[in-house]
Amino acid sequence: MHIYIYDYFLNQKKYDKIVAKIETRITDLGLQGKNCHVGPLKSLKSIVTEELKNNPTTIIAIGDNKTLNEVVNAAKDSNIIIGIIPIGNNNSIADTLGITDEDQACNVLSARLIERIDIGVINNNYFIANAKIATQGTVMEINGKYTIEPTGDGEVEIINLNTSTQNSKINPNDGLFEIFINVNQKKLMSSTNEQSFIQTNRVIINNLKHNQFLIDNAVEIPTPVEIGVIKNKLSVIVGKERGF
Amino acid sequence: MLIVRCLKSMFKKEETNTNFKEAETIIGPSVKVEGDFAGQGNLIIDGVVKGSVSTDGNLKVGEQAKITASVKADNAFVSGEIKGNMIIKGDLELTNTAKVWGDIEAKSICVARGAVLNGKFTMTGTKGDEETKETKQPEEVKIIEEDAEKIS
Repeated sequence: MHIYIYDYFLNQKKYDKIVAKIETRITDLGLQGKNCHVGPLKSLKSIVTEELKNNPTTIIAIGDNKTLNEVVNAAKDSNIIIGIIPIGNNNSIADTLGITDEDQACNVLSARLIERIDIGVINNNYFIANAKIATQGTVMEINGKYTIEPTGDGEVEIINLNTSTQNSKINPNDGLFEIFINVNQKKLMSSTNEQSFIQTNRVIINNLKHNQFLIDNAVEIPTPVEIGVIKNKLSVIVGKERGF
Repeated sequence: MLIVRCLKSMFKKEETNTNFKEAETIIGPSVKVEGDFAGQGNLIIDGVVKGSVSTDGNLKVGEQAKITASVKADNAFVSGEIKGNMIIKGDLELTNTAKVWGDIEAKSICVARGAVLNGKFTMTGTKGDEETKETKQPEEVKIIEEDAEKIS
């Protein structure tokens, strides 16, 4: 049985048509299951925990990156297959998984092409794509062997699944994540973008200015953090045009 | 003929760069690393490193790099500063901007005019080197034995 979890923001009137369209399409494809709507009295986590007791075959997150992240975190003790139907603007993960819009997402669910990918762990929270923090005051200790400290303003990005078009060699099945340090050096007349790139499977990061990590462009995590990776932990339904 | 030479040199440049295109680790100019930095695969350093650097692959040290560390690599191409001993299994190339303070072990070396090299260089993996070491040791022992007889 499929469990469809509609995120809270889809209760807005402007999404009524899209939600109705998805429900119709799902029925047409013979993929109907239980529809659960997140509301003020029912959190996404409680819905997932409750529904997992009925041993469903698939949980489908309907929403954006944040919805998918919350579903993955709520279902982290199970090995259930997860799908996504993207709605809204913040859907870089769905794009990388080869799912561009709600119409195509229903077809992808019907084709049911399953891929196992690594998942990042940041202080017991899972992230699928990336975790970002400002470089100012950030110190990284890698595998307990050496420390890295950026010396300019910019961004540190921990990448598990690459959602941008750059760095095409990032592999979400290798049991490693990539640390990408992007520093913008401003000079008198111009500015240069200086980049560093390190692969590892464990890092401890502290930020002396108390900046927070932003995971999957959706959820904030306070520092210090320990980041690791679990190889091939997440089973996810992907499209043919996925970016890996 | 000139065009052919230019084309040849262009292709040569590409060949030398291909190893570093597949770099698995890049330490940029705006990054400071401290500790035992051990990498697998090709490594490019343009920043500041203190401690030790070792990699199974090739090492490229950029012009802006300042390394105060012992360095171990398969092959190395150095344009920046290194203060520390270097052990290179294969080839070492020092460009005209390279500055090295420390002892170097390498199979072969190429030093450009303008490079600074302060330290002892040992060429490893050559047959002649091993033979001279083997022959020298017994001679020294003989001299000491003769001296001992005279003294007694």
